[in-house]
Amino acid sequence: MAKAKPKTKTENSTPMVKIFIMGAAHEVPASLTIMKAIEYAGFKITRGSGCRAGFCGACGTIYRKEGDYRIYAALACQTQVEDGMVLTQLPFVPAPKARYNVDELQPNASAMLKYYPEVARCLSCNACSKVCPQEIKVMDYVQYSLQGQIKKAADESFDCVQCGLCAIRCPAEIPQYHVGMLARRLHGKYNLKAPENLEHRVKEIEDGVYTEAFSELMKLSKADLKKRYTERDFIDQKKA
Amino acid sequence: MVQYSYFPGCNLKTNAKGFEKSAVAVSKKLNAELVEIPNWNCCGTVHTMTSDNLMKRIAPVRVLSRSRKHIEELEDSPNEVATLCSMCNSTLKIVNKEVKVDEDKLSKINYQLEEDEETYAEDMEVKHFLEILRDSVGYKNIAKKVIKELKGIKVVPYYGCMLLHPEEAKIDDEEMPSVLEYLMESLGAEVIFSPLFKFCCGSYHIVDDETIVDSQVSKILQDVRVKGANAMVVACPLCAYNLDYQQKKLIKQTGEKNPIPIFYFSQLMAIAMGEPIEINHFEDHQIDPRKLLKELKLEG
Amino acid sequence: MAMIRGYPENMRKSIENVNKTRSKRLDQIIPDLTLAERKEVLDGFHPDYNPKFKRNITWGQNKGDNVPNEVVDVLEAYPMVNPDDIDLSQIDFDVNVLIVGAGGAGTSAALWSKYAGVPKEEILLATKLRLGDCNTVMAQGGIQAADRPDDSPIIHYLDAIGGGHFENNPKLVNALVADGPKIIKWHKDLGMMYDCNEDGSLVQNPGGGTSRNRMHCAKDYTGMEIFRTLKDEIINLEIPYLEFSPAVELITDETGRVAGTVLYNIETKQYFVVRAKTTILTTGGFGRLHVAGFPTTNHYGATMDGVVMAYRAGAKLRDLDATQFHPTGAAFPEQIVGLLITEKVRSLGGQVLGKDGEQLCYPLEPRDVEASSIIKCCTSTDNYIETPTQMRGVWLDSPLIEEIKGKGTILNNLSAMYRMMNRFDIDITEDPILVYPTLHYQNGGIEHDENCYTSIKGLLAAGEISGGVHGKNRLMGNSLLEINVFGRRAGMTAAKEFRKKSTVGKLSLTHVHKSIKALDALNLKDKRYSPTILPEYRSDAVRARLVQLYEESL
Ligand SMILES: Cc1cc2nc3c(=O)[nH]c(=O)nc-3n(C[C@H](O)[C@H](O)[C@H](O)COP(=O)(O)OP(=O)(O)OC[C@H]3O[C@@H](n4cnc5c(N)ncnc54)[C@H](O)[C@@H]3O)c2cc1C
Ligand code: SF4
Ligand code: SF4
Ligand code: FES
Repeated sequence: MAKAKPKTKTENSTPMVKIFIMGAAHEVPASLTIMKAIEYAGFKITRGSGCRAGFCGACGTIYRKEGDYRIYAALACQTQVEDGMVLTQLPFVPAPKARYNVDELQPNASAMLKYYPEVARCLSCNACSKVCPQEIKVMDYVQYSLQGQIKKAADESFDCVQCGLCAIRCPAEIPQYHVGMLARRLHGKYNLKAPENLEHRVKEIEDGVYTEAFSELMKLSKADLKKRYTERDFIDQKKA
Repeated sequence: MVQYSYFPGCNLKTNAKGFEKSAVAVSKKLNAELVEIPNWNCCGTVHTMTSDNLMKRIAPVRVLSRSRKHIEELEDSPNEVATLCSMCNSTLKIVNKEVKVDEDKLSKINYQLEEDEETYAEDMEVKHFLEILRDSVGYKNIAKKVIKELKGIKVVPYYGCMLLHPEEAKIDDEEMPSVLEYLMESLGAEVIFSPLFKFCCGSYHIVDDETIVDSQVSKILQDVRVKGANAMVVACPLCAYNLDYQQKKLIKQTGEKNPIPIFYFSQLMAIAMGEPIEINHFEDHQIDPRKLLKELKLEG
Repeated sequence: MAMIRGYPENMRKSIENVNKTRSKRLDQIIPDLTLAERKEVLDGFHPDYNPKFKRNITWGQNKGDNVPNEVVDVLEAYPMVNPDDIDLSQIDFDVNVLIVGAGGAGTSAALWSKYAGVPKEEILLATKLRLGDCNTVMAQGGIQAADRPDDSPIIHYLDAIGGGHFENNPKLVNALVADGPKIIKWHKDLGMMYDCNEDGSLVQNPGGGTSRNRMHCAKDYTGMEIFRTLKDEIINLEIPYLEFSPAVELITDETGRVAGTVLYNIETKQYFVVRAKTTILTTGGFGRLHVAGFPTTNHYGATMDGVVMAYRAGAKLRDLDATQFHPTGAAFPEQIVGLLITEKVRSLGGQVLGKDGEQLCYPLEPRDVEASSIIKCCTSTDNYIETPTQMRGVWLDSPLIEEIKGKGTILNNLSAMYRMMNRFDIDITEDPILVYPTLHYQNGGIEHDENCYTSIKGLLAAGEISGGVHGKNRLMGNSLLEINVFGRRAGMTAAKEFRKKSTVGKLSLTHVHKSIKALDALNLKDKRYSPTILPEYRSDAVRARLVQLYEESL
């Protein structure tokens, strides 16, 4: 491991920790997230940062801690630095996504196996679940997919931010997050059908049921419009 | 109600819905309810036996451990995981025995499972549902629940390889098995013996060389026909698949006039116990058993 | 300082007040403000109404508009590439439809241009970072659409236009609300997992300023569910896309119409010339400009690039005087200050409280009003809560949700919020969340009509980059709707243009030269460059030691 860089002085005495970014030591304020710490240390991030709020999965980071053999994984934007972290960001995960047309599929195991035959290779080692920063039971949703339990696979994988950390750890070389994506689309399309009133409303609008009312509204003076607005009724919410 | 922690296995879940649904339905009637493990994973199948890689034993051991946890939520549940598929039964039984004798192996596997809090304490037995029916429920109690005797069904019990071999996994005597026979008799069916009761159905060759399966299946069926039976009963989804699907294909080629419907044992139980016929999903069968059932007035 | 379940000891005292008053507040309803009262609190406390944060645009077609300083800063800035360095004679990508910015608006535009008949080879989708770096993916609360029997697009229209202070473009509002149900239908057909009730109907929640419950959601990952599905379709349909390739300047031809863009590969640092018959700008909003010094909810690349490029090419802007501050950004812990605490917390029954544990205001006012009420509490009273780093905030009483809707509601409906706070040891089913307004949304932007045509030929715009749909203030859930409605319309318009015989002329950057001249005439004190592309977050210590190498020396 590289030697510590000379310490840069900060004006106030915020508590600092030492972390190792790709092997090089940096002193950073203890209150920062991993992402802000990387920036603080002088990196302008291009890969490895997106939403900065735990939703896009761009910032998957793996690290170890001193004296601990385990590999940890986290979203850099959602995790506070700890003293002695040895970390690197994952710029990209090579995991090709299958191309399919959901209209031609059914929510069952054969759809899953057709596009991701490798799910049958899952060893149930659970390495994926251990690494998932969203704490999803990744192995379980892979297994549900293999079993054709599409609803369970969809629900379990729902919070996936597609960071790809699971795929990197998988000894069976399964791109779990793509598998989950297919399961969710099948579930959303075939098991959660669009309700009738939705279709009905679409048709009403296409048939021009509201056209006249719209043109009337658009002709109103601002004062009249304000009046209509203030007088509208609230049927769902309790108001004082 | 006695409840069993039940492990379905992928095959039953995906291709053989009627087998599972009928079994679950009759299990309730028999005070031996099969309750699915909420988060089960694949048993690990045959790979487990063909290689000495510990990694591949993690799956079955995890099943045992999850089933052990599941039992805590069940009523009057013995330390047994119930299986319906002969393949899963075999895999789980073999690994269970293996880790029970090999402490070292188990501790290595447990070391991997530790972080998931899913270590296994060797305190489970693997039971095929047929074993539970025979040893815990008893044929007498089964007969008591029959409301529609299977009069007119002349059935050949077929075991295939996995239920009787190898030694560590067998559920019955490998030369003179009787569980399917007694079960069928307690349902009121006429049992017909075929010497090919464990003649291999062709098994996984279905995926690489169908002709092997065709030749095995036609021999088995020929004997069934010669013996004058009108149905077969099986306890393995793969046997059922080969005998049913390939039979259909063979009939098309040969013009054979005498199709033999293939029943899963639980389907015949469900009929005898008056469960609604739909739970058997006979529409998924290639040789539709409903024709025979109708002739014998056993439908509906 | 001793921390107790995520909060320092002294904040715990105030949390006790919140717990004490909770049962009393269960049925307590605070009246919402009249239009006159709204005006008063806006005038007094909303940053938009504070002249200190704003100044006039000094050049171009919107000269004289009074907008945030940070917006003027990027408009009054020199191009970051020297137009003379760009060789336009070599065209790297020659397509019919170019879409710049792959958020929700961009991906729906790409999909609908394909659906409407443009062959995939004729489409190019270019984006700044990776697919998924966008505001769309972060949207939590939901998407509005009036599909329930006792709702109607007419009522939706009134809600939207009233929320926008009656300054919206009526035609755009009409398009927005009338296309709403169609969009939800499209999404359902694609297999998006909108939350459903037991009977199969769609869950519909209230939102600030809506008079009906019409917020469709997918837990509090609504935007993520929408975006990842659209992305999945982009890949399934094999629509070509370029990542890490922001546009840095539009290209025009001798007639002044837009004819493509210059892209810049952030990693290799080379540029690409794209010629396109139609260019659709969908680069989203400006949160990362940190208007009025506020932290933001927005993604890393939200730097208003599209508006800057279009302004240089002559596009008209509107409503940039109005900025949306979300009432409830996280104010504690420090690591997540400014990140969004979704409005859905209030939709589901969460109340806004002062340090005494009493309600401050009706929780579902339009956003500008709600935000102003919170700012008022924190700046002109002493009823606020202070954090160890001197941030001020008020409580958002999340545990109340489970009192009203039952145990488990938070995990099932707010799992992103629960997870985010839980990462810092705060359990929002037990304890309230400290909030303060945060910079959230660019209300105004490029002017366009209901088919997404801007004031310049060859250029379409859709999504947060644009102005007019929301007037001076957007309601929750109307933006996710907007990006789908106008993304779709832009795609279909591009397909219509594709079928027309016209072509683009000789590529040029004349408009950039003209902009430089206009800027020169201003004699600016600071020489700035834009588009910004990415904000600067490196520490001062590092920046003080930055050095530029000569090209090719490394
Ligand atoms: C945290 C959060 C929560 C929200 N919640 C809701 C909600 O519940 N309901 C709702 O209706 N709205 C919500 N919104 C608002 C809504 O999500 C956005 O306004 C909307 O998604 C914007 O979509 P867009 O496609 O216009 O822009 P974006 O989704 O931001 O996409 C713009 C894309 O353009 C790219 N880009 C930028 N500059 C360039 C360039 N120079 N060259 C190439 N590409 C470029 C960006 O990187 C990005 O990928 C929320 C917003 C945020 C930030
Ligand atoms: S399931 Fe995989 S891709 Fe999804 S969040 Fe977890 S680790 Fe990341
Ligand atoms: S890492 Fe791969 S093999 Fe292991 S449990 Fe997960 S999906 Fe299965
Ligand atoms: S940057 Fe998007 S999840 Fe961290």
